[in-house]
Parts: sequence; C-alpha cells; structure tokens
Amino acid sequence: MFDQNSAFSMLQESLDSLARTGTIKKPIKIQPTTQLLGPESSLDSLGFVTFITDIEDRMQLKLDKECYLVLNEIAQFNVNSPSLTADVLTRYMVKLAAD
Amino acid sequence: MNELNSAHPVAVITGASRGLGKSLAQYFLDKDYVVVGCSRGEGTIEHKNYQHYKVDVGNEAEVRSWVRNVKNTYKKVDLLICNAGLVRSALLLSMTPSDEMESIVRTNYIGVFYVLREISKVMALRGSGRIITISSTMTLLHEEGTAVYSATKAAVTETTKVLAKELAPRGITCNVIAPAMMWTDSSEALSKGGDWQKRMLEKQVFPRLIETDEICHIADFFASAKSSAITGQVIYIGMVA
Repeated sequence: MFDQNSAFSMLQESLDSLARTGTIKKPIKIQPTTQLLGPESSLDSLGFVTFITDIEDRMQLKLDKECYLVLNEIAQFNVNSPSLTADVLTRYMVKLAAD
Repeated sequence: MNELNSAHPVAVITGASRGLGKSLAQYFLDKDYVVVGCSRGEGTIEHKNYQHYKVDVGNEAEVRSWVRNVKNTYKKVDLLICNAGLVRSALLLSMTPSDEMESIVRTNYIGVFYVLREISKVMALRGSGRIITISSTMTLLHEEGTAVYSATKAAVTETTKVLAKELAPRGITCNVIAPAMMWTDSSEALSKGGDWQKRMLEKQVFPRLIETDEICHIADFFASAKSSAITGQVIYIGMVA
C-alpha cells in the first residue's frame, strides 16, 4: 500500500540521490513543511523539474503504472504564485497512486 | 533493440515519416544513432536501429505517453529534433478559417511545446542533451499569406531561445535551424499552386531550393560535442537575417 509515509520516503530517497549525483547542490532533509517550490525552497526551478521527473520514475517503478505529476491538478497549487510543500505533494502522490 | 541502448546515441525526431524529418532520420541512422521517429501515420523507414511511433504531437496525452515509452525503452535521449510541422497553401489572414489557424498552431507550435517539455525533463534528469528545432526563413520575410505559419515558426524560435537559457545549467544546448525553401513533399505540393515557389526563391540570397543534406550537416554540428558552448542560436539557410 502506497501511503503518505511511503511518499515521504520516496521524496527523501529521490533528494538524496539527486544530491549524491550533484544534480542538486546540497542535501535536503524532508519534513511535511519543507518547501519544495517557492521562495523558501532549496531547489532552484530546474532542480524542482528534475526532482519531479525523478519522482514520476520512482512511482512508476513502485506502482507499475504510468504516473504523471501534474501540478495544476493540486487544488492548493497556484500557478501564478507557485509554491509546494512536501505535505501537499505527498498527499497528491497518494491520491495518484490510488486512482 | 534494447542491447543498443548504452552503445548508441539516441535521437528522437518528430515528423520522421517524410520530407526533412525522414532525411534527418536516415542521416543520423548512417551516423550510428538509434533513431526514434514519430508521425501521425505509419513509419516509412526500414532499419534495424529505427523505431517509429504513431503520435499526434498536438495531443498532450499522446506525447506524454510516447516520451515515457521512449524513456523506459532507451533510458536516455541524446538528441531531439522537433521537425514536425504543417505547411499549407497560403491564404490571406482575412480569409483564413479558424480551424485552419488552430490546426497549424496545434501542430507547429503546441506540438513543439509538448515535445520540448517532455523530452527536456528526460534530458535534465540525465544532465545532458542536444535540442534542435526547425523554424523557417519565412519569419524574416513577413510574406502575405503566411501570418499563421510564420507566427508559429517565430514562436518556435523564441521558445527555443528561452529554453536554451533554462537548460544551460544542465549542459543541454538548444538551437534553431531556419531553412529557406526546401525540396520536400510539402513544397512540391505548394509549387503546384502557381508561381509561389518562383517568387520565394527570388527573395533568397541563393535562389535555389535548399537540399535536405545541407540541413542535416548543420543538425550534425549542433548534435556534436564541437558545439557544446553554442546555444540559443539560429542558423538561417539561404537568407540573410
């Protein structure tokens, strides 16, 4: 079962992997309130894109189905003032997995 | 084809079933690439390193699924050439039906946007790649009857330049090839409509049709390591910009 804890673990594994390969500049420790996108995020815009692409790959491997993280499907996501916390993203990932 | 994955560079070419796209596909197959082509119809290339997908690049869901499939199969994309595009007989803007305008915008710009967005994510994750888009010297001429076509090609050029800046931190280059009149199926069809081809050729500095090979050589340069510091550039062929 893919629950929110599984999603948090997946985010952490992805960020650790991206830090190891130098794709993101420094390690990020995930908390529910961690800003993944927005002014307080440690990820730059391209780093965020890379991170989301990696998460899609990991979800496909884990769930054995195609998963597309489409940010404007997230009710709390405002495309004109984009920001996203780990809590909001993981809830969306759980919903995607269950669909 | 999976055993080829790591050994061969992988090129993705849209609109690969005919015209310039087909020539580009054959050129890069000869250069030992694995080429993944797409078009709305069946593929027309038989080669052990060629795989064709039927994709409408103007359909977001189809593009997403196709790129995911390519990524799962080949694990990487070294080169993307966004070539798919519509060339239609020229109508004055005042006479252009909405569905004609929307069809050209969907294939020539929205389709390029979808493919660039999905493939650039694959390249960004891997931290390498070369992107080439195909524009046109029509953007320099402001020729009557090309309001929609030229606008889409100008949009492709601008989008490519912006993307070049966005992807530069990952070492990915994005460049544009803008040829003048080529001898392809589309131009052949257009030339049957009167003296249009003759008038266009007279506006070029070299008043002759551009050979697809000439475009392939420029694509080869943009794809090579020799151009790794060249990004956001437009090469106009047959016209002074």
